Amino acid sequence: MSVRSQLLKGVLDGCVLSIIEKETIYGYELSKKLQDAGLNDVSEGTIYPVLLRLQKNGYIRGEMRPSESGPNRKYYSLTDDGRSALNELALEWAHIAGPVSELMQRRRTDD
Amino acid sequence: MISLKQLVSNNNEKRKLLTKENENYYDDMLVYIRLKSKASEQESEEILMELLDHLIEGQKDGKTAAHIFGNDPKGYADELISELPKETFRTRLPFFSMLAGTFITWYLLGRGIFFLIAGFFTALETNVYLGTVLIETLYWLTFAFFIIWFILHLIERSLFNKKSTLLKTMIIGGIVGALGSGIGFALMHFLPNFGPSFPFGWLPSLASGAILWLISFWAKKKFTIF
Repeated sequence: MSVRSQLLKGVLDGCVLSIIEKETIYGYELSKKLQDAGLNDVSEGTIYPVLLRLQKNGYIRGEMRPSESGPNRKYYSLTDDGRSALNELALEWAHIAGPVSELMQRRRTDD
Repeated sequence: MISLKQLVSNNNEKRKLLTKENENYYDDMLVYIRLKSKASEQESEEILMELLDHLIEGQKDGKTAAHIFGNDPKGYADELISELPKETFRTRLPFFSMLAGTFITWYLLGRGIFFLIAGFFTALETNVYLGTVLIETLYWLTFAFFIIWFILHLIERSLFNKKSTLLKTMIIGGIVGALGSGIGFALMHFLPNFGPSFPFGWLPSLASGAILWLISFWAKKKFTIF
């Protein structure tokens, strides 16, 4: 596993939650959205273990129903627990992201 | 919610849309997850359906299963299984009781028919001894559960293998089956009769088998076990 995908693994739950917060979505669409956001390194299948875990934790709810285009799909929506988990994650991320980028930045200017 | 039956039949239909390569990849994963998942069948089938839908969509963009799910199908399937909720022994109990019930039903019916036919040609000892019968039944049930588990285990091990080991698998399965039956028949032959005894000819055997069959038929409908 590449360094980038290892780093991503830790924050993927948050990324998935933040997309589901915006709209009710099914798996294939979700993987497209992640790629569109620039996370090309997430192999598409990675989202399914994440989705199962988030469901098990009660952060999202999955429901199989017919889609507009015909076939049944499992649509995911955020639960109240999921919303508060996402809020907490976003807050924690802000605490980490700032200092980490600064450290990485500083080492570049030191060269 | 979409019923389990519907999911399984949709899955069978949709799999035909896969290319040969993707079908091989997906089929192994499907059998592996169906065998190893400790989740309810509904939950297992739902994730299998999602994976299949995703694969079919991706296939249209020229992607292969390995692009989408990675180069380690077994590892990926194990990851999915570990994230699926696990059913407890208690929620699986009806399934096991149903299986045991089915074995006993067929035994009683088979015994009844055999005694009915054999009775025309020879005098039969129809007495059963409760203690003996109990031990024999326990042995056969244990053996039946073991052989089912063992065969599933063999199938599971043969998945994701490049070289087919079907013949070897069948031979091992056959040996274990013959060995277990052999011990069972030896037990029936050599185990001394003990415990209270009563006559149990073809009629009560058939009748109790039929009653058990009706009960399990009703329970299946009522609790939708299979």
